Amino acid sequence: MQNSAENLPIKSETAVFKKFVTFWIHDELFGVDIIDVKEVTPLMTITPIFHAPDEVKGYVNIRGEIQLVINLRVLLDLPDREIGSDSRIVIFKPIIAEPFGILVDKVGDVLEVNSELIESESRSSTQKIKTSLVAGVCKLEDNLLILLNARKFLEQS
Amino acid sequence: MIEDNELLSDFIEESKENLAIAEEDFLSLESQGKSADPSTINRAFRCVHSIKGGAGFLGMVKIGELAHAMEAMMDLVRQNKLQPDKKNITMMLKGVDHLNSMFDNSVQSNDYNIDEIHTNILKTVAIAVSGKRGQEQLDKLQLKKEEKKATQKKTTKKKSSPAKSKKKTEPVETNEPADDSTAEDPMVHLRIISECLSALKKDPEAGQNWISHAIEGLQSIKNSAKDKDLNNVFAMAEAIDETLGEIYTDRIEVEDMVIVACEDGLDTLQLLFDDIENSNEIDILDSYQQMVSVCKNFEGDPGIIGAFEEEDTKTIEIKSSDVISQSEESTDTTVVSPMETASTDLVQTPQRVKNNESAGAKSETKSEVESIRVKVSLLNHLMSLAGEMVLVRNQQLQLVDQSDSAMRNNTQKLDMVTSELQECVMKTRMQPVGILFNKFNRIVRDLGNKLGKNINLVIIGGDVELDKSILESLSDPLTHMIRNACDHGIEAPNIRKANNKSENGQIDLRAWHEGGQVHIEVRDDGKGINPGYIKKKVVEKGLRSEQDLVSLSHKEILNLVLLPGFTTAEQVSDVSGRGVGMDVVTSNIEKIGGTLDLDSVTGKGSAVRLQLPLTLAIIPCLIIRVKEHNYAIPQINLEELVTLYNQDVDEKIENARGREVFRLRDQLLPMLRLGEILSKNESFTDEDLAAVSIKYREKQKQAYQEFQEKKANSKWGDEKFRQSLTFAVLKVGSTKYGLIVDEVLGTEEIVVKSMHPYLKNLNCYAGATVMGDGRVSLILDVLGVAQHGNASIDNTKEQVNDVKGAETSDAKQSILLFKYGRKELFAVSLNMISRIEKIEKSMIEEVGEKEFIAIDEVSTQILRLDHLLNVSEFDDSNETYLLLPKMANKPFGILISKIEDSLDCIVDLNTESYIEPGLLGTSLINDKMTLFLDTYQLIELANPELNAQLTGGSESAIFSDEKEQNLNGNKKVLLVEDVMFFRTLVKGYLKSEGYEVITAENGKVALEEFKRQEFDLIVSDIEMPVMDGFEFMSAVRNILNNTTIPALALTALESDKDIKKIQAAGFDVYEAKIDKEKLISTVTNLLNQ
Repeated sequence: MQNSAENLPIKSETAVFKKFVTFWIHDELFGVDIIDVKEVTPLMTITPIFHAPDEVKGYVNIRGEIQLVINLRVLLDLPDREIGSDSRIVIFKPIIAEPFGILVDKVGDVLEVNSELIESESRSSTQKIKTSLVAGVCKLEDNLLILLNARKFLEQS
Repeated sequence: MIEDNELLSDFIEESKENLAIAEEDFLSLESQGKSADPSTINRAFRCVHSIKGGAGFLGMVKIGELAHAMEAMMDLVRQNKLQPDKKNITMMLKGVDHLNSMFDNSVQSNDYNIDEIHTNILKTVAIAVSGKRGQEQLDKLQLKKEEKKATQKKTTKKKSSPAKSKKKTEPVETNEPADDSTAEDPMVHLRIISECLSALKKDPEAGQNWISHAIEGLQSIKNSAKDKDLNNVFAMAEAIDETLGEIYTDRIEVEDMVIVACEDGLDTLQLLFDDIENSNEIDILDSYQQMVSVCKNFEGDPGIIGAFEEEDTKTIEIKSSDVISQSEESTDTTVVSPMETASTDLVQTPQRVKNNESAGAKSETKSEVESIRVKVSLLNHLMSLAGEMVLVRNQQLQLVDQSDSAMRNNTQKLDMVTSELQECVMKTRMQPVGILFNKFNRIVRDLGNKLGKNINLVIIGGDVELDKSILESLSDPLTHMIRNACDHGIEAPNIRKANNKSENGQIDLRAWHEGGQVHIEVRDDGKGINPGYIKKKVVEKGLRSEQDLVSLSHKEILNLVLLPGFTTAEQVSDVSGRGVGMDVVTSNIEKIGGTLDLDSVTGKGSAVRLQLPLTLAIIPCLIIRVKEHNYAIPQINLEELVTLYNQDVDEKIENARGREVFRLRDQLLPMLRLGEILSKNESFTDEDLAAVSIKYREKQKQAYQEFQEKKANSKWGDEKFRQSLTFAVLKVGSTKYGLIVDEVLGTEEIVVKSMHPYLKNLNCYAGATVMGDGRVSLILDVLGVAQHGNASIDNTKEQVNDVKGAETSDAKQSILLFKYGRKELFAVSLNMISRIEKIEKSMIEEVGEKEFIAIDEVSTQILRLDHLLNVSEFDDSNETYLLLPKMANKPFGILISKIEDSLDCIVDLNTESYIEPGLLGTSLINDKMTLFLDTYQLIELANPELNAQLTGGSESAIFSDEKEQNLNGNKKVLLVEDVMFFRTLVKGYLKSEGYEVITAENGKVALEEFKRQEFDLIVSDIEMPVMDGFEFMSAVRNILNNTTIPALALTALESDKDIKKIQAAGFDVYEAKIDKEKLISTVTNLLNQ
């Protein structure tokens, strides 16, 4: 893990802390609100769905439930790559959309971030990334955490 | 309103069921007229009655009022005082509608406006009870009500001056003569009550029957008393009502004391009515208290008791106003009070049971089933659990260690139990279609009235069961279809009469099981769909161009009705005709995995047929593989599986109009390759299809070449080139195609999960499922795949051709263009050949003057065209093919040197400019003169001895011009055939036998011909435009009354059903059209009979 609890900004009494599930895609650290996340599962056979939009990776069976897996790389306009051994699927709760998950290169820790340190929009570092999905950025000690709004993943069609 | 949601929703549900039954009963009462079945009346009465009871209990005042009025009306019908005629039934049905809509919005039901219908019903009741006078009285009553409202307002205003209030209000009411009517009516009730009491005295058991009537009477007394502020009357009536209710529900014994108290109460009530004007002044306290003491659970209205107790100390003004408010309150409490609750509830239950017993003998179907209400959500959950169970079972079946017998046994049991469980759970969701069908009685009736048509709806198969969800989604489409049938289908009575039909139109609504599916058909005997008209409309609306329509078959034209935006109604009525219609119906039906088929005969009626799956949740599927992915194909759509081996792969997959097709029996099947379909996001165009066709042709060639190279390089010797190709023949609606897959894995029962909403635009998938190995597989949508792959080549169907109605009938022909020598271009109809075989010249063996080659291990005689016809020599420079004709009695093959093309075109055969035996004629194909071969004649030419045998030793029949007259020349044959090819062909056959042949291109022309001259034999095709063979033949037999002329059907239809139909139409025999020998011998037999 490149990131650990020590990297966290120091807690202050008044600040509101939010927890994020973090993951790596294309060597960038992303985070989604932990409230939206149902579970992180190891990779299993993904059934491709032909004719589906590019960002759709396919279907997986998670304990009898069929989940749609979205390839976040496509949504973020990042170059695609093969699924590796560290790849995981982050499954979101059904409250935010019909059940779906995203394919990530590797999961990181759950980070607690002082909401004061979250910059709403970054001018600096995320040019590569489609900004419509970005909820904010947060500078960690050795990394930049890009916070994504999972509720917007399936909005575009 | 009671805030008990559970109770409320139960009540609403039950009431809706009751309303449905009542509606049905009303309709049947109407149709029964005067001879109405008392049990039907009773049932309707009961239904309304229970609604009334429940509504009162739950505080749904308006519902109660309306139901009460309807009940009163039904009661009169029961007593034969009112006829269940159209007007009255319409009123009752309206009542049902109002009740329904109030139940739909139960929370606000009390704000619902029922005045109009309520008054109408009451008026009817009043008229029926007391003739015209009743009407007047009611009008007055109405008037009075309004006045009362006004006075009430006054009263409230004047409350500040209490001294006047009483005197002001009282006269207004008491001076009303209308009070007579209220007095008269109650008298009847009072008599009933006293009858009831005396009956109870004699025999408590028998008296029970009276109680419900007595209670009804009391209810109505209470209601009118409340309306007129007759507080004492109300209080007394209520007390008696309560007591009787207690007796009825067995909560108090029928003791003398009780009866005495009631009689006392009744006397008091009588007294009150005797002096109704001053009734509120009369002291009722004694008997009231007596009643209260008798009836344990009724504490009485403390207001009344109190008011009487304090009578002396308080002023009259205060008392009366007090009682007004008290009594108002008490009406509220009556409704809410738990005792009343219990009693109403219990009063109803035994009553219903009794009624059931009496009605049970006559109609056991509805009431006697033991049942329990279960929430649909619970059933759904159960369903999905059963689905999961099936998955686990499937996984277990794959995991099981076959060597472990204990485990194997157990798994087998699990397998069985799971299957049974799943079946049972499925059944819980099944409902008879009758539930839905019976709705249409009403719709048809109302529409009939509205449109001024007499329409009977005949429902058949109402007990066929369907999954609840399917049933629900059927409602709208079926309604639409029924409406269409009423509006567009059935003609107005005068038109029907003019067309020699019965004035009453009929719509059959039929459901039945067939092939594991449920079929539903809406058939009307109306005017049918006019294809010409459809074409016109389609062009007018710009949905299709005229050119598009030229090559369509009858069926395809009918199906144009399903296009979005199509309507044929001349005027847009409010019933139908807004052009949003059949396309929506189709898409709804397809959504639930069903298909829709249209059929129509102009002037006779039309039919829409739906094919529906029994259930949606678990379906048997064929599992196939393409590349490394598995897919499921619903077995409902699967017709058959075909595997081609080795050479067949190259040859049987043909190329027609630039796409791959397979000739499955007599049908051209468009072929789709699933791998290609899936790998391309956009729908396939004709060019794409051509590209696919070429790609695979090349691939095959390459594979073959590689094989040949390998073979040359190695010592494989006799090793043959091996390959195979598997495809599934799929059918959805009228679309049928072959889907080429890599491998068929087997069948499995799968649990259908719908596609993620994010993917709802994907048409190729019907859903997804988890397979036994835990992987997700997609379920293919057979229709979607067909559309994506552009598999709509229905018009390649042979012989089914309808070209621009009557004028022309030279339908398109699939022909093969090829060369033999260097010069001439030959053509042969694809119908006439079975296949083309590539041969090695070295394999040809000579026997005498003849040449043979082994094809499929059968020695086949080779025909060389230059030996038989005056054409150029065989061109040796190319490869050598052998054309194998169909239906030759000996194996023959025509040698050809080069396949030029295969195409569909309208062939205009020229038989004049150049003709010689062995040729059908010539035609210009792509501006080149092409010689059309007659394969049969060629065979005959090659083997004169063959023909000699056939015709009984006479000389060859081929050069028959001179012979025509002498042998069979006196026999005249009417040949009816739409396709010119066959016409020429069969005519040739017959002529060669010396018959005189008159041809007609369809049934209609033939019929005219038939009227004009006499014939000895009819030879007719079946599938023809304008008038088909069936129609033609039955016209000859039935209309022209010619039962003696022998008739032969030429057909490619061979199913038992078709054969029956052919025989039913009046044909004596049927024969395949290109089997010359059989045809001739049959004809000879027929003529010699």
